[in-house]
Formats: sequence, C-alpha cells, structure tokens
Amino acid sequence: MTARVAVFKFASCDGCQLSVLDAEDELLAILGTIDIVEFPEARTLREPGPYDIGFVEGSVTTPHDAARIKEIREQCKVLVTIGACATSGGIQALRNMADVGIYASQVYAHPEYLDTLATSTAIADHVKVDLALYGCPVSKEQLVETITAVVAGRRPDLPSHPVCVECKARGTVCVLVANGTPCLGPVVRAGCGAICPSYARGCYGCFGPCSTPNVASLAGAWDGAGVPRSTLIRALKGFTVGAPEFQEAVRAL
Amino acid sequence: MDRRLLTPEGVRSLLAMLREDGFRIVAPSLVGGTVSLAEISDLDELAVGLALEVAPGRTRVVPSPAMFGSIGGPESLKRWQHPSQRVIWHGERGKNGFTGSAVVEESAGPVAFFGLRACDLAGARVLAKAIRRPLGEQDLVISVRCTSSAPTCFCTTMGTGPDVPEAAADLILTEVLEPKPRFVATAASERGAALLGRAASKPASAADAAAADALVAKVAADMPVAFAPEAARAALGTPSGIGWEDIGARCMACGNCTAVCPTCFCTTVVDRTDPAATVADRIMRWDSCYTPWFSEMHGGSVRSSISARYRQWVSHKMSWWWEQFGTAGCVGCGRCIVWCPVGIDIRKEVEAAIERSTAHV
Ligand code: SF4
Ligand code: SF4
Ligand code: SF4
Repeated sequence: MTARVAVFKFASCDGCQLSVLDAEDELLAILGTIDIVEFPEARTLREPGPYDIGFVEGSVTTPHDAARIKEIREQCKVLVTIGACATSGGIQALRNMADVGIYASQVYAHPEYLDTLATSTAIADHVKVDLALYGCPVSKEQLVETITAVVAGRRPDLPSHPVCVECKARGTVCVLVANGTPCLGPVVRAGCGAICPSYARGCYGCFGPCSTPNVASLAGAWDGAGVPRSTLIRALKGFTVGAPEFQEAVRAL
Repeated sequence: MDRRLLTPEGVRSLLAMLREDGFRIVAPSLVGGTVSLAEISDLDELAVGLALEVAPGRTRVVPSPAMFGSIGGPESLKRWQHPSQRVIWHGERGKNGFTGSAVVEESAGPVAFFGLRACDLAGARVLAKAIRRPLGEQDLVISVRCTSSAPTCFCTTMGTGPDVPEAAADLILTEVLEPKPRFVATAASERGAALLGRAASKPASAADAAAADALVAKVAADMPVAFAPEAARAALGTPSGIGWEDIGARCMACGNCTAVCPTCFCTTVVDRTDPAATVADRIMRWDSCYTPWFSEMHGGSVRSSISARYRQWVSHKMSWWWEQFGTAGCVGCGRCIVWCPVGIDIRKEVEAAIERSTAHV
C-alpha cells in the first residue's frame, strides 16, 4: 500500500518545497512507496484528504492560515513541519519584536487591504506537530530519511544536539577555535551536516536552537574573538528569530 | 637498543620508503588552519617548521624552529582506530526473503603513523582497551618525543609522558636543534630496526643521546603537576550533586571535548533503510555523554541538565574508568581544553571537585 502524502504551503519562500524536488535521485525510489497527492509547487491537481503524511512549509501570519492549519491537522495522520518558517516563524517573525503596521506601510501602497496577524508563528504554536525538520532550507537527506522512516514505521534519525557534533564527526577543524571566526554551531541544532564550517565560515544558525542552547556562554567566546555583541544579536535574529530560546537570549544579552 | 643519528632528510627518506612499501601515511599536516594528524598523499603535505600556539579554546599556527614542533591538534589516533561512523550490519530484501549479516570492515591498507607523541600512544592504548580494537598489526608507529610542551599539557600528572615507552612504538625519534638540527633515533621493534637500517644514518654519540634525553627530561621537569590523580579518583568516585552549577552555566554541552578526546569511545546505533524499503543498514557512530539522548530512558533523559552531563564526563574520565578498565580515562593530552570553544579546563574542574570533596569531610 502506498502512503498518501501532501505538501502544504503557508507564509514562506517555497525553498523547502524545492528541496523536496531537489531530492530527484531519491524521489523516483520514494514514489514507489508514496503517492504525492497534493503539492502546489509541483502540480496543479489537488486531491482531498485524509493524508498519511502531511508536510507543512511556512508560518502562520494571517487569520485565514490560523484556521486552515487546524483543518489540515485533522486531515493528516502524521504532520511534519519543514523549514525555519514552519518550525519557528521564519525571518518574517522579525515582526514579532516590532510593529507589523509600520512594516506593512513601508512595503505596501495600500496596507489597508492586508489582513495580517501581528505575529508570524510556528505551526506547533497552533496544532500538534509529530515531526519537525529544521533548516533554511531543510536538508534533503533529512527529508528523504523522514519519509523513508515513516513509511517503514521506524523512528527517523533527526538529532537535536548541536552542530559541533556533526562538525567533529566529519573531521572539520573548528573555525572558532582555530581562527576566531564567530560560529553559532554550539547552540544550533545539527542536521545540515555542518556545511558552513566545512567551508571555513561560521554556522549562522538556520536550523535554530539545539535542545539545550547555552547562548550566554557562547557569547563569551564571541567576545573573545573580538566580535561586538550587536553582531551576535543580529546573528540570533536571523532565520529562526522566532525561536523562543533565541528571543530570550537576545533579551538577556 | 643502540641509537642512531638521522638528518632531517633522513627522516623524510623514512617516510618516502614507507610510501613505497605501500603504507598510507598519517602525519602532522596543515589542515583547516591548524596543524593536525591527517592522512597525507604527498610528503609535501607534512607540516614542517610549524607549531601551534595553544590556549584554552584557542589555537593559531606559528612558525617553529623545530621540524615537528606542533602539539595540540584536534585529531588523535581515534579517527583511525574508531572511525566516527561505520556500517556494522547490512540486510537486504530479495527473492528469498530478508537476509542480513554483520559487516566486517575492510582494511584500506596498513598505516604508518608518524609524529605521534607519548600521550597519543597512551590514548591509543586506553582506547584499545575500551573498544577492544588495537591498531592494525600491519600498522607502523614512528613516535616523536616531546622536546617542548603546550600550556594545556598535563601528561606528567597522568603518568603518560613525555617520554615514550619502547613497547609503544616501532621507531622513536627525538629532535635535537643545537648546534644543528638532527634526530636521535631508537628502533623499538624489529620492523622499526629494519626500516631504520634502510635509511642513511650514523651511530649517535653518547653526547647526542644525552642531549636528546635531557630535552625530554626538561619538558617533564617544567610541566606543572595539575592535581593528584588518586585524589581525583576518590573525589569523583562518589560525586556529590553539589557545586556543579557554575560549570553548568559555562559548558554548552556541545560535545567537542568528547569528540577530540583520544579515549572517549561512546557510540550510538541508528538504523537506516532505503526509500524502496529493500535495504537496511545499522550504523554505529560517535555519540557523546553531552547529547540529550545519551541518557534517554522511558520518560526522558536522566541527565537533562548540562551540569549533570559535565559531571558524568569528568567523573568517568577520572574515576569510574579505573574500575572499568584499570587506568584513568584521561591521558593528559589537553585536547579537550584546547578545542572547547569556551576554553573549559578539565584540570581546573578536577581541582575544584577535589577541593569540594575535602571541604565536605
Ligand atoms: S566550527 Fe562551529 S560548529 Fe564546528 S565545532 Fe567549531 S563552534 Fe562547533
Ligand atoms: S579528557 Fe581531555 S586531556 Fe584527558 S585524554 Fe581526553 S582530551 Fe586529553
Ligand atoms: S566542556 Fe567545552 S567542549 Fe565540552 S561540552 Fe562543555 S563547552 Fe563543549
């Protein structure tokens, strides 16, 4: 029996849906075990639920979306959020610490036509989420692993420890220790495979906070590397600015 | 054993011969902005005349008068003895049902390890005991004795260096710089003697040998004793939950210390299947007592706080390891101090634990 899979879009850039399409090599094999029946980025035909697996991209930014996610939840046996927007509100959650009215008036000629919420929030703030894939965009490997695991009925291999673990496993030399390059890796969730440090740059946190992030301690290391606190605050206010752990850290810094 | 004198070119020729003999060469090399053990494909990749300026949480590459002066790089023999990830079981669904079997690792060929320090060799011994995997019998070890040390070194405290026991290596070199650079070489095994016999060398004079030994003895004499290992073993044997809040605030549970530690051996096992559900792999990979799931049981993690995880790590290294394997789990290499992004110094944390335990009595 093939699993009925749906992909839904909320406030987002569609990059995570593109990651699904980017898994072309694996996609052919996957298509033998699943049937993608709803996928706005890839096909126009839409089929009604219920669905075995529902992937949700994007954050909730309108009253309409807040209602729609509840309906989708009811239609999905397993609900998986994909990407920084769905898991923490995305870059658009910058509005959570500002006045959305001012933002809207700067961007739109007629902001009065907009019907938007004051905040951009994660899907888990609205409904129960079964599995979460982090990242901006999500990792293709984690996506394939998740579909494969759910179909096989096993627990997907999705770590919540820091990027440093993956960095050391692959044998990358620590850019923070060896070069004083500011890196968010010690407080950021693994899953990307520690890509940035392997290109001699610091992790900028697109996977959001790891399970027990200690930003206050990392701040000391960034101080030691001669980085102004304002740079750390900006780094934390990136793609996962809406993550409560990073918001609290920003407030405390 | 009799001791020979090699020129710097003579040392290079040893490595060239080993390559010709079909060895893979693992030696100090300039990688990722640091000097670390790495497999090199060309002798030009050897880090020559470079050292690491080392402090807790910080390294910088600096020129060195010594040919092989670098200490403190992140990689140890663990990378080769106990790879970070490997498939240990493989199964397939075929016409006749599902079949699976353990995966026996194929050797990629014998390795010649060059430039290993006393602590590296001690680390490999301690790790071998824990994972029951010594270096390959065909592997060859050329050790370079320390004629300088880093401020993060504490091998004398742990009784692992800086001198190299002959049983630990095939060939032991000591670099003597004055009046002109040369290496005093001791063959420590038959294979080491055979290799040395093929290089151009001359007998080392008693003065040469004494000069080499004096350099190593000076490193030992100058290195401060960090703490008494027996006191650490006692203090951390029945650890108290009191007094760990401060380390809990500084430690990030990032696991860098366990990854660079030559003896930390903990692994986890994950299962992977292919999308078509016809192939299954069981993969063993490095884990760390700092990860949240390391102590996960029904109902959650038994060490949810970072302070509890640090306490677990340091107590195992310094105390419970003795009961388990008959030695300490730490060889005093200092890697965990150097490669901790926030420079947490295990020596200070052990000292603090000893102090707390005596204060409680
Ligand atoms: S480079 Fe960044 S992610 Fe990698 S070990 Fe260092 S701090 Fe951690
Ligand atoms: S605990 Fe630290 S000093 Fe001791 S062997 Fe491990 S890395 Fe080296
Ligand atoms: S002691 Fe340092 S390297 Fe080890 S987990 Fe804590 S912060 Fe990371």
